[in-house]
Amino acid sequence: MSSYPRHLALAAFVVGSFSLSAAPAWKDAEVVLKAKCYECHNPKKTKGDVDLQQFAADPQLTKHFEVWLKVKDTIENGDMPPPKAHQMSDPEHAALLGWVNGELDALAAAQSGDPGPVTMRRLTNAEYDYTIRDLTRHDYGFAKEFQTDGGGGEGFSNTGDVLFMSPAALDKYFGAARKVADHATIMPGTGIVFNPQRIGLRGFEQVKAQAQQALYVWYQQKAAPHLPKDGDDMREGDYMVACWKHKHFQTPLEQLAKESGLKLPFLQNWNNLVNATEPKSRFLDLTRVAWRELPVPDATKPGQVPQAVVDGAKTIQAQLLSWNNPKKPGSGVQRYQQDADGIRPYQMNIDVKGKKQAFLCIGDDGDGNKGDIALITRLDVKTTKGPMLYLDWLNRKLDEDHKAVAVNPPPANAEALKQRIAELERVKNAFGKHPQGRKIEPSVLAIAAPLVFNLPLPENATWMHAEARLDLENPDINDGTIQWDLEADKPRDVTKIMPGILTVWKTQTEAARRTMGDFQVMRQAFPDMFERRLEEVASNLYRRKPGITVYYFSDDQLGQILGPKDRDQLAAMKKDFGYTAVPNLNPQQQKEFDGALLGHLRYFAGRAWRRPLATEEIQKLDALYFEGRKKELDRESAAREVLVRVLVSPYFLFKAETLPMANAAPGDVKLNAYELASRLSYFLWASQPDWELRKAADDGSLLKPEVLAAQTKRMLRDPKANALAKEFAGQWLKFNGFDEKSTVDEKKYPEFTTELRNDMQRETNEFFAHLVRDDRSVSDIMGGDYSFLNERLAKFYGVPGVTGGEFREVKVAQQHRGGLLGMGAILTKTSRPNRTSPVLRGDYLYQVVLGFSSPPPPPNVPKLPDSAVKPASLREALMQHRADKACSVCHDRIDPLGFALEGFDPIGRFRVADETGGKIDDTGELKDGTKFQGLAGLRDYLKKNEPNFTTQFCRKLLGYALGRQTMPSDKALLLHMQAALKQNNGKFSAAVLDVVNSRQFLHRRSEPAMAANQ
Amino acid sequence: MNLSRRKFLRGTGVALGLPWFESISSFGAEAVKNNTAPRRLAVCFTGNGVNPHHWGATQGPAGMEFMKSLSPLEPLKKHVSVFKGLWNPTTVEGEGGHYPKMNVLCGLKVKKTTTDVEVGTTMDQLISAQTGKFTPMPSVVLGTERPSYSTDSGFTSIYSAYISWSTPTTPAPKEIFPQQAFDQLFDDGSKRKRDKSILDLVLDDAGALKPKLSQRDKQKLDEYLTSVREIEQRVELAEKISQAETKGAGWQPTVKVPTMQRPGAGIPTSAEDHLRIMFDIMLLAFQMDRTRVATFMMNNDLSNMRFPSLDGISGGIHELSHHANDEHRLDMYQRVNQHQVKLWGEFLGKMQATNEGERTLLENSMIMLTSSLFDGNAHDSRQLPVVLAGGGGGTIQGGRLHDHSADPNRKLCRLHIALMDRMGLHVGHFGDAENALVI
Repeated sequence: MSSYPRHLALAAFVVGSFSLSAAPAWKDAEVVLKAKCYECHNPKKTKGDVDLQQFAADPQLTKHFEVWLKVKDTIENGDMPPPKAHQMSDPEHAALLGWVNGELDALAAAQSGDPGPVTMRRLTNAEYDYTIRDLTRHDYGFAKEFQTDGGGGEGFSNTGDVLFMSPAALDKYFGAARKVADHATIMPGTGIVFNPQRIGLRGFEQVKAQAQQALYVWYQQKAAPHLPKDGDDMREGDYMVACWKHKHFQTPLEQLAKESGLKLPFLQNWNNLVNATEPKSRFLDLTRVAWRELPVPDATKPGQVPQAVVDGAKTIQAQLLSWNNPKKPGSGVQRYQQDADGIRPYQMNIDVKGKKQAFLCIGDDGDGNKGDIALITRLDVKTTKGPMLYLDWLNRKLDEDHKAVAVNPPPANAEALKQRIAELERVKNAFGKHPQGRKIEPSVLAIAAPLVFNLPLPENATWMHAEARLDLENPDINDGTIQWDLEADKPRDVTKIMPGILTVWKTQTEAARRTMGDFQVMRQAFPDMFERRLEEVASNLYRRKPGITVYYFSDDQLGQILGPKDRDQLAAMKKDFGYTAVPNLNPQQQKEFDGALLGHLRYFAGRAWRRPLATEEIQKLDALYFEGRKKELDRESAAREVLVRVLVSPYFLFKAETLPMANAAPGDVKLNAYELASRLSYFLWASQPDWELRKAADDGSLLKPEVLAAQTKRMLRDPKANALAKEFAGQWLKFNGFDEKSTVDEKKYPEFTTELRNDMQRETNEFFAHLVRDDRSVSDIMGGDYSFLNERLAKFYGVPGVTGGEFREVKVAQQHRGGLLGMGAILTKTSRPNRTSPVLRGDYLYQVVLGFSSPPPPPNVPKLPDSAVKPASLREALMQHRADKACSVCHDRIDPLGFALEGFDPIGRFRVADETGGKIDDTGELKDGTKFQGLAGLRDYLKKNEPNFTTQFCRKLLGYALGRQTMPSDKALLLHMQAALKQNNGKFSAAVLDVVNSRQFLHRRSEPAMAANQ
Repeated sequence: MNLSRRKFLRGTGVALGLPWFESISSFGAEAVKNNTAPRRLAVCFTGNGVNPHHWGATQGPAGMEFMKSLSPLEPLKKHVSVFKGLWNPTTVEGEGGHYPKMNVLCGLKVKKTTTDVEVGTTMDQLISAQTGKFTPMPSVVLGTERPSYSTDSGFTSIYSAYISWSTPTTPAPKEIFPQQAFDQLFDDGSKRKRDKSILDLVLDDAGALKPKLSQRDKQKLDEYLTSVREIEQRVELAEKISQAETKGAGWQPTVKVPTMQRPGAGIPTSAEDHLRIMFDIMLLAFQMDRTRVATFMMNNDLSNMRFPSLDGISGGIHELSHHANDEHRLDMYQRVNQHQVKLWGEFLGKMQATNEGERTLLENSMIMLTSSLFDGNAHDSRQLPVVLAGGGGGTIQGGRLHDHSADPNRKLCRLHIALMDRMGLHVGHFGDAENALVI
């Protein structure tokens, strides 16, 4: 990059090369300094804060290399001696520069790889939040209330020297730690679980209820995907046939399940059910006894299932289903049974189209007929002509028939009519008569079970309805259990339980309790709804042995379906419930409870402190817990104190790297595996090591280069590596926090909305996140032809074909964009609120992106006139500005870069004309005549000078990784990083791997080494 | 540049910072016997200088006359002193238009560095080490804007975000969230009790860690150790104060419980709202005697804070300060200055309306308004804008112009010494000054 004088100290260091043998001696250089420099740079007159005369006897180059770098730079640039002073002759120039270059090079070589002064780093606010996120699995963002971190070293907040600790800061750490702890539930089994909401102090009942709730919900969530849903064919018949095969052919259940596509747990449950006699239940016996009574195998057809068995199973299935309402699960007889109380009337409805008679079946529920009298209080029939009371029809029909029979001569069907009259009279006479002689209304039909009462129907009858009550005045009512049913096809067996029919009783009687108990057993075995099946699984919570439910999982069965992780979770949750559901634990249980909590707390501390705990540390953690218990804190609160204590400890807040205790040998100290793991994870993730990295630290394998490299590559692909985009790139390229505050004149640019600002921030984050995680080329930052846009931002940029809120990669070269310089966030950030600033944009490129330094503007700089808001006049004003020599030194280098970006307005929109219609001139011309136009031209120009950018990138990356400023002794590493990038097509990981493998990264200075260097 | 003396002075700051730990045991007795209202000190700061043509006051036939930017203070004139010509001589050496000037409250040179920052312990922090013995919080350090992450021309931009430094190398952390500031000041201290045993333990942690660290890291850990100890002291102090309060002896603040709502979370959207609520918090802190020392950065240096409520003003403060002698820009700059003075004046008015018995709260206080530059356009720090309101407990007669333009020794630190004296901290010298200004 010949046109640029080498301002940047280190860049010059890295790129320059001088032969050591030819280096002039200090005495020759000192002569030059004396003649040309001391006049202004002496102990009394320290122009620019520089005193060179103090070095007359000894240049102290090691200690004061920064001064000498400055000397070298200013002289090479021609900035010194100043124009009005005596200039150096060529030999003088050569003597001084030769000496300083030689010495600096030698210094760099001699100390190459020096880990450098890295001050112990406190977690930055960002690191604090990321670390808490990884410890708790929640993004609480408490650090936003902390004092903001500054920037140091290479301009990053992760530099130890500028990470302060103060009472106010510690106070905030206390506050945050208390908040974190308040979000935790701490239980013996599941341990420390952080919740999205604050939990706070919990009473015994709350703890128990939450343990219960958690387990209940877990059971249901885990079982749900595997249980039959409402409306599913539950293949009851198939299961029963499979059980039959198992019984008669001894085929293993596993094989049967496989062959028939049945679920093994359900088959196991079915098999247990049909073979069991306990618990007793007459209602369940309808299924299991019927199954046991299925025919035996046909001896002539071994191994075959007789059709009778299949049909029998189907019948049982129908019986089972009859208790439910197939159209609306949960609304069948099974559900209403619990409310049957004999007080209310119960309805019967039946379709009787084309039927001559209906059967009113009054059953005794199969348990004898004592007390079983039904009162049919209403009976309606509907014909095609309309509805009527059955009794009315009966009377009218009898009337008609009597009249018809009475005519002379008798009609041809007189005999039939008489028969019918007799039949109707029979029915009519039954009304108003009570079997036990009690007086009842004449319209009421009282029937003692078991009885099937035939009801002749009118012609064209379509529908029949009856209302019945249990006769509660019956002296035997305490034994009454009755069923009633209207049938149109054939009567039912009223001496047995009528499946699918409600049983009615008087509440609070022994008969009711017994029958309901029986019924419950069946209901539990075959719940009528999906939700009930879920509840059955969740009821394992209270069960000591598996339930009798068929479509259900015991803990063991669930465990077989789920993996070991879920099995452990189940065990842990059961442990929670076990210890918290009982108010009074015995001393042994209490001890176990405490022990379990302490175990979790130790584990948490080991993670938070990023290393194993010493025995003494464990004892102290325990002691704090017991101290809290003594002060009558409940267990959870006492445990929370320990959490707070862990999170305000220097072991958590600082990433301490220790030295060997006694007699540290001179030289570097190798980081131990845990320290290295932390360095690595905070470099790549800005957060703590994860489990895998911790494992590699625990077994020490991380110290092997190949393991370190593998971990690095793995971590770069992890979403957590987005932190590199946000923290490293964001701080280096200064877009971090762009979304927090607008710098734009909102009155002039109302279209620059908060949403747009957030989108622009997101664009930069996405770009760098992909660069890191997809391992793209670092040269894409400047030269990429793509960016990441959503619909809103694409529209703003004028990029077609992007729809929806999602950000995705888009080729944008056609729209004058691509890479960093086409990003709205950067273009806006480097503008004034109401106009563009070629100076700011140029300076950004020059200093931030390319890494050159420009001195601050001299005092009393004349301000650009207001009219300069117009780009054309702005250019003119700036050109005038540069006529001044004091200004031109820097602005000749800066402004042209910014001019090339004039095609973007202050909020980053592409433009060809200014607000008043003036044509935009986006050419930049350097002093040496190099010209470029627009973003494309600028990019081509920068492409030619890519090493400058790469140098800057490497320097920043290294500074970020190490948390310090780069030094001459980093020269070799920086060169190596650049070479590695070149060899690997610029892949981001190449530079990272180089850093991670470096002596600087793997070591820290030991005490004697530091003493020598300071 | 006299290195040894500078070092000595910086060292003084550290030494002075410590005694309150040692003298803490004497606290109870002192608080009880004092029957008059205490003095309070606040320094309010605005970055980027002032419009030089309209700032200050002149001497008229009937006494001091405010220039335009100070006109909102007219109703409080007899409580206001205007200082002309004071400066920090160290700020005009070396390069840099902004950062080297950020030593308003200590006068010592700002170290040019991007890492190991160093200025000097500031006068407010020295005072608070003394007066903090009597109040739950030693001082309150408020602001409205965060520091920015960057290094610029060899300086870290941290410098532009702090006027208070608790040690020469540690800025006193500034609170910009109203709710946090409120909670810190008005918490009753009860939750602190449980912190005690934790503090002992983490102190052990630090003690165990320290021998394993390098010298450099040990210094960093010392920041932590000091912080832990100070919080421990505060816990004890909170208990003692609550005991003293219940005894009811001695002077008692007129306001006993917060008279304002706990502010909502986050930062108010408008700059005015943010400034007013922070002023109110500072006011309440003084009214309730939760602290006697405050600093408030109404904005950072180099800030581009904007006041959209003012019509016809485009651009942030820093931008406006570079007015280039353009009349329109100068006018906008002036109007922003005046607006800031108006907000400051509202705060003073509320202090004046707070009766503390013999005197009002304002009369018991010393409230300074200053900047690190005079004319922002020229980065001119050859004099600084300094306005002082309040009577210092009957020790300062207001309504006067103090013109030190022609004074050969016009160091701002001399004023600081005078204020420190009134706050009960008697130092022979401070910063770059050897004696107090007579006011």
